[in-house]
Amino acid sequence: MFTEKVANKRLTDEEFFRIRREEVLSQWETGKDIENLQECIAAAKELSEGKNHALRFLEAKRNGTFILIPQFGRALTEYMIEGITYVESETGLVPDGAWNLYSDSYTRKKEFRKAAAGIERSRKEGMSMLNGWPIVNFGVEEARKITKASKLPLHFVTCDEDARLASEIALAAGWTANSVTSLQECISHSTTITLADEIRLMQYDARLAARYQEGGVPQCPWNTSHLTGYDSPGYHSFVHVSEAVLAAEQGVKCQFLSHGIGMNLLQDIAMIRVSEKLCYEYCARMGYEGVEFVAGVFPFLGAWPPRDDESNAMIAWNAAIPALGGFPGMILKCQDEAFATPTKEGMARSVRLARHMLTVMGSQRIPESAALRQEEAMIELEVRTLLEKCLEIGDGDMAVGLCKGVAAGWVDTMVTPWRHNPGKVLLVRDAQGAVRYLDAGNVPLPAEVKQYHLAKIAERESRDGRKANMDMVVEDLQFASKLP
Amino acid sequence: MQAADKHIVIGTIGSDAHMIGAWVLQKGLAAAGFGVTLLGAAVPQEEFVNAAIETHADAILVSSLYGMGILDCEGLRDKCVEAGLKNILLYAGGNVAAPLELQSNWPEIEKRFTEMGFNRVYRNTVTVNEVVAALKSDLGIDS
Repeated sequence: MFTEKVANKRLTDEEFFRIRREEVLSQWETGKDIENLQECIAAAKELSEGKNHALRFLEAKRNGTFILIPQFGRALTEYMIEGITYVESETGLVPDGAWNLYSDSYTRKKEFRKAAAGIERSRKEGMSMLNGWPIVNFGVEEARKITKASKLPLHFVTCDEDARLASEIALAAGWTANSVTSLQECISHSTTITLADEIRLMQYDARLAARYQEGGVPQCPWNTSHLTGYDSPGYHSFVHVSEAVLAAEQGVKCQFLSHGIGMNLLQDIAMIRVSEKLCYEYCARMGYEGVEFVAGVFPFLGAWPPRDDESNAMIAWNAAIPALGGFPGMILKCQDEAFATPTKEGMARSVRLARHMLTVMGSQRIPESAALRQEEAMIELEVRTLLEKCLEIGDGDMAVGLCKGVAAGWVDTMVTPWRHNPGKVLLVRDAQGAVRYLDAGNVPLPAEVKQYHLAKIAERESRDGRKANMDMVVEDLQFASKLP
Repeated sequence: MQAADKHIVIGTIGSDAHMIGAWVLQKGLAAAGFGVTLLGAAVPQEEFVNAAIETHADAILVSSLYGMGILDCEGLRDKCVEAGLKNILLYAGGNVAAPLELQSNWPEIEKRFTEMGFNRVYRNTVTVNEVVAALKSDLGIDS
C-alpha cells in the first residue's frame, strides 16, 4: 500500500490534506459531505457540548468516580436511536455513562457494498442482519441524528485496518473519541496488513483527533489493548505505551487506556497501573508534554459462557476489577455476548448490574500488598525491557522499533489471525488464574521474570498433578466459557 | 475407511477475525487422525473452494462468530458445485446470526442453512468430539 518507510513523525498539514483528499474521502460517496474540515469541527463543537468524552473522563478521574460504558451496534439508524434512548432512560445511565458504538464488520473491512446489501437485507427481514451500524454508508447527517438522540459522550470503535473515513464521519458528527491503535488492530482483527502500513493509517486517525482538539473540540481517543483475549499482561502494557507514544507524536492530548483483562484481580490491576505509569513516563521522556491518560477495563475478550447466570457472574467480576483498582472507565458486555450482538435489554441489565456493584462495593479499593507489588514489578520489568529494545533498535523511533521487533520475532503473542505475528508464545494460567508464559518464544523476558512465571506454573502443576503442556494451553482458552 | 484418508478444510469466513473456534477444531480433528488445512480468519468463499480443490477435501468446516454468518455463507454451495465439488460436506458453526431473536430460534437457523445447501450447522457450544462423530458418520469412517 505504502512505499515510504514508516517513522514516528507528525504528519505535516500538506501530507494530512493530501491523504484526506486522495485516500480517505474518496473511499465512499458519503466522504463528499465532510470535505470542509473547518465546518465539521465547528459542527462537532456544538453537537458535543455537555457530552464531551475527554472532559467527562478527566473529571471522573479527578473525582475518583466511574463511567459505565455500554456497547451497541445495529444495522439501521432507527435501531441505534431506539437502543440508545432505551438504555439511557431505563437505567439512569446519564450522566455517569458513555457509549461504545461500533460499526458492522463489513464497514471495518471497507466492504461498503456488502454493508449496503446488509442494510437492505435488514430492512427486508425487519431485524438487524449486520453486527453493527454501517457509519460510512449512512454518512455524517445520520450520525448526527445519533449524537442528538444521546445525552452521553460517544466513542466510535474505529477498529480494523483502515478506519479513516469512518473516523472522519464520527468526529464530524460530534462523537468525541475515535481510536489510536497499531499493534492492537493487527493482533485483533487483521490477517495480512504489515505493521508499518497499520501505523501509517493510525497516524492519520491520531492526527485527525488532534486537529479536532486543536480546533476546540477536546478528544479522548481510545488507546486499546483488547487483542485476542489470550495475551500476557506485559504484552498488553507494551501495546498501550507504544500506541501512546505514536498518538502523542501526532498531537493527541488525552487517551483512554482500554485494557482487555484476563480476570485475575491482582494481575489485571498491576497491569493497568504499569501501563498508566509508563504511558506518562515514556511520553514525557520523548518530549510530549501535557498528555493525559485515563485508565479503563474492557471485559474479558475470550469465550463467554452460554448461559445467563454464568454470564452475570462474568459481568459482575469484570466490573469488580476496575472498581477495586480505581480505574474510571468500565466497559460492559452483556448476557447476549455468547450468542449474538448485544440487545438493548441486555445492555440495560448490564448497566444496572454494574451500577449496583459500584453501590455495594462503595469506596473499597484493593489494599496494597507484597503480592501486588511483586506482580507490578514483574510486569514493569517485562514492559521496560521491550520498550527499551524497541527504542534501541529503532534508533529512538518507536514505530521503527516496533516493526523491527515483530519482524525479528521478539514482539509476539498467541492465537491471533495476524499472519505476521511470530506465534511462538504459549500462555497458561497459574494456580490463581493469572496468565503466565509457558513458552516465551523469542520475547526477551529478563531471567528473573521468566523464572517467576515458571515458578507460578509449577504451583499449578503440583496442584493439578500434571505437567503444563499444549493441552493445558487449549483447555485454558475455554476456562471461562465451559458450563459445569 | 480411515480418518487419515479424509481431508478437512477449516476457516473463519467473511470479514470475521475470530480464530479460536477454527483453531481448536483444527487441533482436535488432527488429533482424531484427519488431514486438516486451516485457512485462518477472514477467509473469502473462493479461498475455501480453492483450498478444497487443491487438497481434495471431503468437507469444508466454516466458522463464524461475529453474527453475519448467514450473509457470508449464502452462495458457498453454488460455488462448490461450479467447481465440481457437488458432494463435498459443508458444516457451519458459531454465532451465525446477529439478532438474538434469530440466533435463539434454532429451527429457523437450521432451515436456512439447509436451504443454503449446508449439511450441518452448529451452535458455538459444539465440542470437537461432536464434530468428529458427525464427520465419521457422514464420511462413512469406521469408529
